[in-house]
Amino acid sequence: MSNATIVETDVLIIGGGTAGCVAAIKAKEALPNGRVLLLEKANVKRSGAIALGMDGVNNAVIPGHATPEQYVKEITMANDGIINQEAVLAYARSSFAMIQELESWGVKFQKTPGGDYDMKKVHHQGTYVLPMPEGYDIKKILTRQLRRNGVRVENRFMATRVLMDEGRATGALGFNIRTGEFVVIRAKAVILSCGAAGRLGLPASGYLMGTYENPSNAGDGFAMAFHAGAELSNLECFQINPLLKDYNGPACAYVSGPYGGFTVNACGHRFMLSDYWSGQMMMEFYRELTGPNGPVYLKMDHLAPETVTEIEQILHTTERPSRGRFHEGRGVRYGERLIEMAISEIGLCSGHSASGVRVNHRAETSVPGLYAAGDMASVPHGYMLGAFTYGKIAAGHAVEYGASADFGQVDDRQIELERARVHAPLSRPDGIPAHQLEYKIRRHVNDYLQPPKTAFRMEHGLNYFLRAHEELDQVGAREPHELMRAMECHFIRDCAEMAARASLFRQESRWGLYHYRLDFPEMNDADWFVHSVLRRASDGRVEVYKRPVEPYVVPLTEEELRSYHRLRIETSNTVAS
Amino acid sequence: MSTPVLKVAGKLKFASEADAARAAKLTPNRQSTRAFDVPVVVDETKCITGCHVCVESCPVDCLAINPETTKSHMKFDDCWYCLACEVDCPTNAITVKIPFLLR
Repeated sequence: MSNATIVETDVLIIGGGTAGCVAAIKAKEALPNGRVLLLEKANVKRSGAIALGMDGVNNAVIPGHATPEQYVKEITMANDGIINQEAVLAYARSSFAMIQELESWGVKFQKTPGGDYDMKKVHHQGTYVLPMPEGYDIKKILTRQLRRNGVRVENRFMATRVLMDEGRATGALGFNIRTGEFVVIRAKAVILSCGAAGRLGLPASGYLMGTYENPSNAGDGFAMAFHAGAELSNLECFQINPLLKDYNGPACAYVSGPYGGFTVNACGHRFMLSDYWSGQMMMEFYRELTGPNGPVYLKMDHLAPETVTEIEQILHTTERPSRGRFHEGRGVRYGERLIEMAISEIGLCSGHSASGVRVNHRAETSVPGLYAAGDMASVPHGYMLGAFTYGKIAAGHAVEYGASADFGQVDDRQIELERARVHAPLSRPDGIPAHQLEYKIRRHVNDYLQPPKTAFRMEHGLNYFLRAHEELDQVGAREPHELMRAMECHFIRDCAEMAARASLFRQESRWGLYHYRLDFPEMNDADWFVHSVLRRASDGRVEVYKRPVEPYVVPLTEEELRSYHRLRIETSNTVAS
Repeated sequence: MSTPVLKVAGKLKFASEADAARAAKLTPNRQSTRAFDVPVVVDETKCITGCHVCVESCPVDCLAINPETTKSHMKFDDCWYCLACEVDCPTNAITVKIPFLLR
């Protein structure tokens, strides 16, 4: 038996962000006498995509304002039809109950004077945005709820691999990022909720940690699921967002939109019908940004000063509160001029697009005992509420599975190999610094994978990502913090290889800019109305193959399916004279 | 007495590329000790010895207590300028600056 620190738990949740906190709370509620362990790389009070709160819910399906079926239609359109509708419907049907539960925990949503939810229209068709102007403390509320329920939380632990027994998930391996201590966690069921692969592309500023996503989200979950042999789907459907240039945070049109703010080109003309983030919207944004009327701006200078102050109060206190400081440093005020925007680096994130570990409506991955929720699971356009809701769904099914599962056999060989892999950089204190290799990998991601994509370019990128294995073997760490960055480099490399392979596989263009290929510029439903699925076969080879789109439960007409292809306002397409 | 090696531009001082690669591999990495502009600034007169709220708040774990001063400082250049440390500090000892490359 291995002499590593061994911890046992009934349900293990890896990642205490949006999905993970709710999954842990719900699992513990279902198992008051059982053991629930939440593993977090940072500290749950300030971790994950909503570490500093969130200004609103982007996809609330509130009775009287929208129906689950309408929402499923809208997301099917935004995804060019490649969608597991049953999984999106499961979200849409449970999300209102989730909102009510969050309210019972102390989360405040914006209400009208009459007491109704103050819904805003941002999507192309329906009304799904619910502001939460006091959303800055949401992680503290969740942390309090974790404590009340008696969830065991282990902060500053980084998982590196899922522990496997005969093709079944039976725990995780990892280490303490402050002491380097190696740990083995045995569990009857495992939920992965590690967030997006947000450190994939390099921000245009060149600042490694200047990412849109919380840089802790390095793609840990995508890579761990891949090495566990789970299927990942539609990884070529990248996350690319319209952001404040250089600051690289959201502008955010969802906040300013309902107050009258909107996106314009350099001539001050509106050029797209909807500011809701979709691949098709990003394509219009990209065309305008790189065209004769670029760059693109957020326009708020026509609003009344009181309105601008109200918008600033939200934007400068929640989600990315240093926004105000960034503008102040450059002498930019929302009410006085147009705010320059640009597009983000690429990432993998189902919360904004569709790339993720393939799950069904029960949050099950293709590996028994392994569940996934939030930005890393394949349910598209989930955002924050999708992560909460699927955290709850994953907890329910993981608890049920765990009730009839055992801990399985511990594979000492897997543990020893992983311990050696994880501790190797510490034996090379003078090796390549992790940040140098990270920069190099991510620079290659920008050079070769960023849309518009071509096969020739992506092949070059893939060749480098394979060669980067040798460079990973030379990375050194002088202390546990650097070891964390070194192991994240492995995850980033894995995600880069997966993104390249999936993008090479789908020989068509789809999802607007997210998968825009210059060598196959048209969408081709005859051959490619399918999910692309990638997984690591048992012999280590990477397989990519097609899977049919699951039967629709909410049918759409051809006309409806194409509605997100008509976002451009043509009349604005004039060059300034 | 050895003859001084004549350096000719464009001509290698090594017999082969393999020799050059070997020498490069054996050359130790050099570290610069120059201080540079970091985003997280701690006012040590306000920072409480024994408190480590900011160290626990940081999502990228870039803060630590400096054993020499017993005060918090930015130890690793990983700041996401998220303001968690600044918001959570009980004595307002922390100011987060936007990283230079973004300013």
